[in-house]
Amino acid sequence: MDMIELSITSRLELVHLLGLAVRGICGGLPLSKDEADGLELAVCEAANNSIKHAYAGRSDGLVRVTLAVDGTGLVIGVYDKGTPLEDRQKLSNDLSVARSVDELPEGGMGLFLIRNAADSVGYKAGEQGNVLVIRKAFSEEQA
Amino acid sequence: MDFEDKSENGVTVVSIKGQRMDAAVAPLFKSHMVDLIQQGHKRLVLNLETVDFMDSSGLASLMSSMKTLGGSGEIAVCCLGDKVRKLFTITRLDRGVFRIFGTTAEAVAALTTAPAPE
Repeated sequence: MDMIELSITSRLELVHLLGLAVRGICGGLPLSKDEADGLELAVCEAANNSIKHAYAGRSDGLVRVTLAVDGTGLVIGVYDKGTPLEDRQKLSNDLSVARSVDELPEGGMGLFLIRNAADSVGYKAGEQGNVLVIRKAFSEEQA
Repeated sequence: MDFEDKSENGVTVVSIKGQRMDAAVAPLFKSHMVDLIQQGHKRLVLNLETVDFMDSSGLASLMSSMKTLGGSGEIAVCCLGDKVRKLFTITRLDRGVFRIFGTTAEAVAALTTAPAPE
C-alpha cells in the first residue's frame, strides 16, 4: 500500500493547502473529476471540523492527513489531538430540505458532505487523538 | 476576500473577488452581507463567477445572511461554476431556498419584478 502524509497547523487559512494536495493526488488516481472534487471538499471539511471544534479555534494544534492507496481504492485519515466529537449521531444525520428560511441548517452540513463524497466514513477517538477515516473505492471502469 | 458592490434597478449585486468561499473567509463575507442588509439593501444578487471552491462554511454564511433578511427581501445567486452548482444541488439549497440564475442580468431582472420587501 502506498501512503503519503500531510500536515498543517490548526489554522483555517491553511486548509486550502490540504485540499489542493488531495485534489492533485486524486487527479493521478482512477477517480472521476467529480469524485476528486468531492474528496477535496471532504478533507477540507474534516480539517475545518478539527480546527473549529476539536481545537476550538486554537492555532497551536496539528491536523494530519494520510492518504493510503492500494489497487482497489483510497483511504484518507484526518487526525487531530483535540476534543473528540461528542455526538457521533452527527456522522449519520441526513439533510432535510428546508421549506422556510427558519429551517435553514447552519451546522452539520460538513459531515453530510464528507459522507456524500465517501463510500464509508468512520471516526475513532482515543488517547492518541481522534481520526476521521474516509474510504473511497476506485470505480471499475477507471481502474 | 474582496467584494464589489453595484446597484442595478434597486438590486444590489455583490461580486465575490476570490476563488474560495471557505471557512477561512466565510466570517468576512457574512459580515459584509450583514452590513449591506442593515444599510437597507434587501434585494441582493450574489455573483459567484470567480468562486471555484465553496465549503459548508461558505454555504452557512450565505444561509445566515438569508436569515438576517428575516423574510423581507431575497438573496439570489448567479454565475455558478460546475463545482459550486453541484454543491447547491447536493445540499438541496437549489430547491426553493436560493433562486439560481445563469447571468447577473437574469437575476437582477427577476428580483426587480419581485414584490417589494416589507
